Amino acid sequence: MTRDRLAALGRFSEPALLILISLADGPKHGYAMVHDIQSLSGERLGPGTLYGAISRLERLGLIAPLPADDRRRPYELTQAGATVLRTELDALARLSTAGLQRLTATV
Amino acid sequence: MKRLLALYPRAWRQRYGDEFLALLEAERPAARLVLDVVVGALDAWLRPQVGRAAAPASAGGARRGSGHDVLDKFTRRSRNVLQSAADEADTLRNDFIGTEHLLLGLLHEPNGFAIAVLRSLAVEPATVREAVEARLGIGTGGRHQERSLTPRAKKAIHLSVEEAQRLRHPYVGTEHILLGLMREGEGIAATVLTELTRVDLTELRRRVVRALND
Repeated sequence: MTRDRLAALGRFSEPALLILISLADGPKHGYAMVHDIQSLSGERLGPGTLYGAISRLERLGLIAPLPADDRRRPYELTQAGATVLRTELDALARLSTAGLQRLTATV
Repeated sequence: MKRLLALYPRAWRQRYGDEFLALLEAERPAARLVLDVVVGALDAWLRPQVGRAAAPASAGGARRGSGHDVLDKFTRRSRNVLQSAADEADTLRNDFIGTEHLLLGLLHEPNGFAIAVLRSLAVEPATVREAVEARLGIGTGGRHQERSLTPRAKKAIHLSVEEAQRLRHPYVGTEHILLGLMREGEGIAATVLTELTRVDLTELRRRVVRALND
């Protein structure tokens, strides 16, 4: 069910997943997310892409804003966000396991 | 960098402006970054996620709130066209981005199919610019000001996506933007295109298909 929620975000679905992963160990503001995501995935999200994904995730109730510290506003994963993230990652893990098994079986 | 924020809708700026600027200021300015933000701003106009202004688009049909992005399938060149349109509005001191700026934006991609199609109709880019600028005075607004996307420009962008779908093309190229501008029908771009090319939408579509097959 929840699987479709990120896929429906089109080109924002991958940045959205990366943001959810980034927030999984605690709230972060935009700049911290960009850095964290870059170290996790090697991809540096542009500000327009990051905030396109943040605004969608917020609207879907998967992340929530916290009070701003100076101008930087941290975001946290909501309960719904954690559920969606778990579902997404489980699916990816199954895919990864299946792929790796096939590789070792044929090579 | 601050001027880039002015491209976003007011409701969006009220909600995200401060934190977005804080992020922008921390980034090193680069062409890729500017393009990312310009496309982000147009996305915020086309698929508003903030406020009651999130009205469904008149054309394009996608439901509100699904978050799907109109600009999803835009090619690199098409994205450049959007950025050039924003730059043109800035240079001309117009406080809006209209169909005329999108048309001028197309001229910045001389190797795109849009220009090839216009040339096949004996229309040179310089002529297009002249015709647009004759209809468009220099605005009174300052540069780097707040800038909105006009409803017609919005419609033309949605229609360019539809034109791509109609031709069963999996991307939105400059040629589809050209068709979208023509099909919009009422803006300065459509007027200028009709006048200069002396063809209608059906013939323009035919020319696009021919240019792609050449």
